[in-house]
Amino acid sequence: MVSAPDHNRIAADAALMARIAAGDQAAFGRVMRDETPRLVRLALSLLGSAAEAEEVAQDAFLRLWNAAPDWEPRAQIGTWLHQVSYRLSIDIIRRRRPTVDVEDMEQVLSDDAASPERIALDNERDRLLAHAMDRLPPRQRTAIVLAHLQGLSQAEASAVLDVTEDAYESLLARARRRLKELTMDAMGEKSPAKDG
Amino acid sequence: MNGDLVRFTELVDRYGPDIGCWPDAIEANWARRTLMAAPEARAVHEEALRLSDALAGYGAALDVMVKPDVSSRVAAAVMVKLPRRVSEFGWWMPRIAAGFMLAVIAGGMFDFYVQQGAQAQDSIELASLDTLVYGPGELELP
Repeated sequence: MVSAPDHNRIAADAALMARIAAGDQAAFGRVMRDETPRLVRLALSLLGSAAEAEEVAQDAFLRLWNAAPDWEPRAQIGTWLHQVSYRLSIDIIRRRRPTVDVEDMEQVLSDDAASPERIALDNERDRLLAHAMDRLPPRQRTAIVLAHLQGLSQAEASAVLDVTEDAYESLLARARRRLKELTMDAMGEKSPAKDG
Repeated sequence: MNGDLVRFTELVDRYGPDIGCWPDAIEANWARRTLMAAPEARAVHEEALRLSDALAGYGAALDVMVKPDVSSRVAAAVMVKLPRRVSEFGWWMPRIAAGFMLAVIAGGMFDFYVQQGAQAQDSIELASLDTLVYGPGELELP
């Protein structure tokens, strides 16, 4: 199923980018204020380091400023920033493990975070979930984060990962199944879908 | 595991537990009927809801890891690094100035070489002959 892109929002963002291209730093500042929390959250979920996540966000915004004169009204600013932040985060992960295809590799985060900051969660199940998220391949983890935490539509999320919507939905389904398996295995439980 | 449960599980994995947000109304209606008819489907659905709730908690915990005022801090760091943007009007100013300078230089060269050459062709040199030295015969006067 294809979700329709928000053409009104794309047009509004194109007008905003024209102002940024003309040097409107106030408009650029508003974009940064609005998008920073989501971008940092996405990068943090991949990198495990708040400091690195902020650097990713900074880099993404600098690239947005430089891209403004050539901006084409094909996507929303938020989607573009998410795509750049995802790629920058994957580049950082690749530098940690240059010989491995990290996008589909499990346990990248739990082994390689520069300063692994552990999420403080109150109950055992949520802690197990966080550990399971760390073990998901970055691509699957990103699919989960985009769907559940970032408020992006299927069309926007598939654009971030540079796949079709069908491919994104399949990836998300695999990610949810794997996450359930990892969580249930850690708790010593069986998924109800596996019974019968 | 029966076929309906397999299909229901695949759809929930694909589209999430909020059946009202599924893109296909026919599939959504089928899922609702299956949910009402099969306890196993309700168990799958509830597990998906728990996962969504847990992920919301995971997201909130991620946000706690980020320092306060992250937006201000990131914006301040970016502003310091911004390359200077030349305005649209300013972009043309150097070009106009360069064109003006070229015109001035070309005009000066035109004046120096072409005009002076033309004046040289038009000039007449007058020689005054001393009549005491050059008598009427030399001057060939009638």
